[in-house]
Amino acid sequence: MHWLLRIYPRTWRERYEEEMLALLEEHKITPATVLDLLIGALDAHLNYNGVTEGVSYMVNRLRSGVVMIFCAFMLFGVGWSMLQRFTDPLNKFNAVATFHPEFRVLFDADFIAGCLAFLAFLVGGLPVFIISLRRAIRHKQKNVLIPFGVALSCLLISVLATAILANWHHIGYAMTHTYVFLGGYFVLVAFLLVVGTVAVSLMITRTDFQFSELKFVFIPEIVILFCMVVSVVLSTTLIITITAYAPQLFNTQDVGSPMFITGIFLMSLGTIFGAMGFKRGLVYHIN
Amino acid sequence: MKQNDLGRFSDASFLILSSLATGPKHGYAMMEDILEFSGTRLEPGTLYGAITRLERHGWIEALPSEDRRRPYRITAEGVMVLRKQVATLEQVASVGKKRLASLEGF
Repeated sequence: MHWLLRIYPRTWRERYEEEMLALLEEHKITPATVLDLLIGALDAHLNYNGVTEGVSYMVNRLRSGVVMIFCAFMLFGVGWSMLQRFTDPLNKFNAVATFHPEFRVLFDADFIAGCLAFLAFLVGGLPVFIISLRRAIRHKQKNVLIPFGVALSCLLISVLATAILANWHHIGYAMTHTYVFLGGYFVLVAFLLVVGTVAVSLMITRTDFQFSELKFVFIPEIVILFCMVVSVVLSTTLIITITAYAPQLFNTQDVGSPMFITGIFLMSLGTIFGAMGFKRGLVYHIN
Repeated sequence: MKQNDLGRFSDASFLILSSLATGPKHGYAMMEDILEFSGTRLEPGTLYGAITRLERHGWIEALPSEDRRRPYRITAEGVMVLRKQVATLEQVASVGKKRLASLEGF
């Protein structure tokens, strides 16, 4: 049936011919099949625009890649934030870092890598977010505006909860039930983070972007992914050197070894997921 | 949603979305599945006419090729569309049943 597919437009064949041939090899060919293919070819000549299809496909790939990297960065950010507590209490960390300056170098480099990733995240992500929101407002797209409302609520509630936490020593209940208070805060913030991430992902997924609007996220994506990889390597090196030379820090600092390992695990998971998202948006995958 | 331009492919599109609701499938697997659950034998030209439109709308997306066969999966937007179509059909079926009941005796 190869000859019959030759009457389809060239752009259509470039995209579908191989899979259509594979299908026809398994399908019983009848006169109805031939007639159907002829009508299909006519339809493809009249309605199939290879450029449009290709661009639509590219936009879909890029958009889902952006969403994956966004979720990955959130996951990475949780792990990275956990590790930033390692210098607390500072005097004990400084005491050890005097003899092991490599701890401070690794910690600071990790901090810088995380900040650079966050900066790239803002540079690449904010325009996409604003385009999504503006388009939703213009077209009164409820299925985008509702997730935006949810994400905004999550942000406001988490700011409020953090403000309350910052003044915990003025709250009688927090003074008497410190661990319950802190635990409640962390559970609430984790919940808000998950809901907020899902809501923003839905906003991006449900927005019709132009290809030109998404292609500029490519460079920030590279920076984010590079910084995430560097940060995971630095954090892993830090935990290894601390284990080897100053394991007492795991007892004195806010971040014990379980929390440190959890942090690195989340960072690694986020980095792997981010790499998958980046791969998804790569142009050479797009036919 | 822009369902008007599905034209003669609207029924096939609905069948494809229903088929992909149980997981990603390549063209031939979709045809077999559709035949099994609906009794409709889609021909390849119709199937791919509908696939190109569904892909253009972003209701389904292609996955990397396996051998020469390329599987497709339904997107979140596709699930929403399918839900709406199912709800409309249920409403039509419900009205149809009521009207048929009123015909009893004829």
